[in-house]
Amino acid sequence: MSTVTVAGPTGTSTRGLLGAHWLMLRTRGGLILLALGVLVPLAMLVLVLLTGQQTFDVDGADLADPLINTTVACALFAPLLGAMIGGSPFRHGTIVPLLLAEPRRTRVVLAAVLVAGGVAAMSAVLYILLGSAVALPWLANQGVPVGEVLADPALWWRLLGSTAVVAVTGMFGAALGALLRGLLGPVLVLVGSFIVEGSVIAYVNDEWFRWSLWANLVVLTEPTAELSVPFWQSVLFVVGVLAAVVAAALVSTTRRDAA
Amino acid sequence: MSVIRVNGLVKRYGRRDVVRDLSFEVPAGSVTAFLGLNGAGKTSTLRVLLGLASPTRGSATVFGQPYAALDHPARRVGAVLEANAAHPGRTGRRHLAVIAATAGVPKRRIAGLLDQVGLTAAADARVKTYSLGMKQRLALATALLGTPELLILDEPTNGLDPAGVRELRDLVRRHAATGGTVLVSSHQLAEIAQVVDRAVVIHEGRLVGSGPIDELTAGHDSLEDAFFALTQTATGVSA
Repeated sequence: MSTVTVAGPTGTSTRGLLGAHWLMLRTRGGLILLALGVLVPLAMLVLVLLTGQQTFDVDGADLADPLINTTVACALFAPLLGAMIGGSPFRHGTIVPLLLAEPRRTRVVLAAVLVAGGVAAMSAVLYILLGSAVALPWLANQGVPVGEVLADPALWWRLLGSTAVVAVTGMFGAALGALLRGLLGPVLVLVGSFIVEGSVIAYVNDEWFRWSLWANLVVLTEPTAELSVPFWQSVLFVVGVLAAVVAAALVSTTRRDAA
Repeated sequence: MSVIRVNGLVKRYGRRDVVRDLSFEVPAGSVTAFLGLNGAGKTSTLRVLLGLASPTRGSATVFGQPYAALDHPARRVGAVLEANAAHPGRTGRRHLAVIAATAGVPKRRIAGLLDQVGLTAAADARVKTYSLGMKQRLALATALLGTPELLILDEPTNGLDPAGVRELRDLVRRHAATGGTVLVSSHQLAEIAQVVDRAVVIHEGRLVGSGPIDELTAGHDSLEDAFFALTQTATGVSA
């Protein structure tokens, strides 16, 4: 072990911490998950188009349906990706060197949540670009006036809403990953809540869907839909639930022993 | 001046006190052994000292502050706590890059450190293919990333081959020669006796001896003899 002398460190930075979380995601598992998050919705889109399950008119929102419905499929992978970012350091013990380098735990958790949201949103945007490259020529070939419907603002709002939903589910995954300190727990909570919430509310009282996380997430992708919940209320609800989960993750990470 | 100050530290897990009213200091520029049998509370003490666990009572400070309050902690303190603290699917180089980015250490330092700990050839192999000794070397490189003034090493020789043990000994000596401070816990008493100038001995979470090594070993043939005398006396007292 020879001596090495190099200029010293420049200090911790938010950018460095975000970069560290991005680097941590670049394992084989993380990259496979990222690829699946784009390719599975793409395969679903192709299936929808080829099997003719969708009819189209010149309304932008209708045109957006196949693309948006499959974009939401990205939201199935985003929580997994998020849980990997937030929970993996605890699962593999890398939280120890991470916290030795940056002992302010709230920063570490917030960086994980931000990176998860950013990466999830990126995967949604990438899918939308790839999906558009597949869907638009196909639709044009079907005689749909693509140029006209692309000018419809409703299309862009729904795409923006879908991307936001994917980002939010990624952030949920990361916060739950940090809270539950692993990968399996967050997945069970998210999948469980999806199943339990839907079935229980449908059984008890449909009106309660206004207090369902998943129903409110759907509203974000479909602000023009005839749902009982106003768009702004859904935004507030989702942001509130996300803030509560992130706050719980921060408190837990700060108060509990790290290792 | 003391670099490390532990004062009345108590750490409780459930109903069990693993560290009991522990107080000691580590002077600047010293190489101090932190000795105790398995379960004596060494690792728990180090975890509290490094801000990874909170004290039940008392305090543990580094450079006069709790670890979490240090400005640029990686520049001041380098720690090896466990060898298995790198993601198995990551390469050694990537692991160092992650910690360097977090600590704000320039990436250019990584290649030199890999060379320093003898991991250059395995730098781009996944950590899951590493032996325990190689993981230990990687943990040491992680601790050295920020060129710290203080090294805290918990069982750093675990898994190291004889060459690795010698290299570690040389590294500790060089660090001390340049004015750095080292706190090292180890079960290899004969090995550690060659590099330390002070020792802190704990038993069942309590301090049973501390001071310069020649004072502690006075009347004994070796550090090992002194260690067993101190811990057996403590066992007799507590019994």
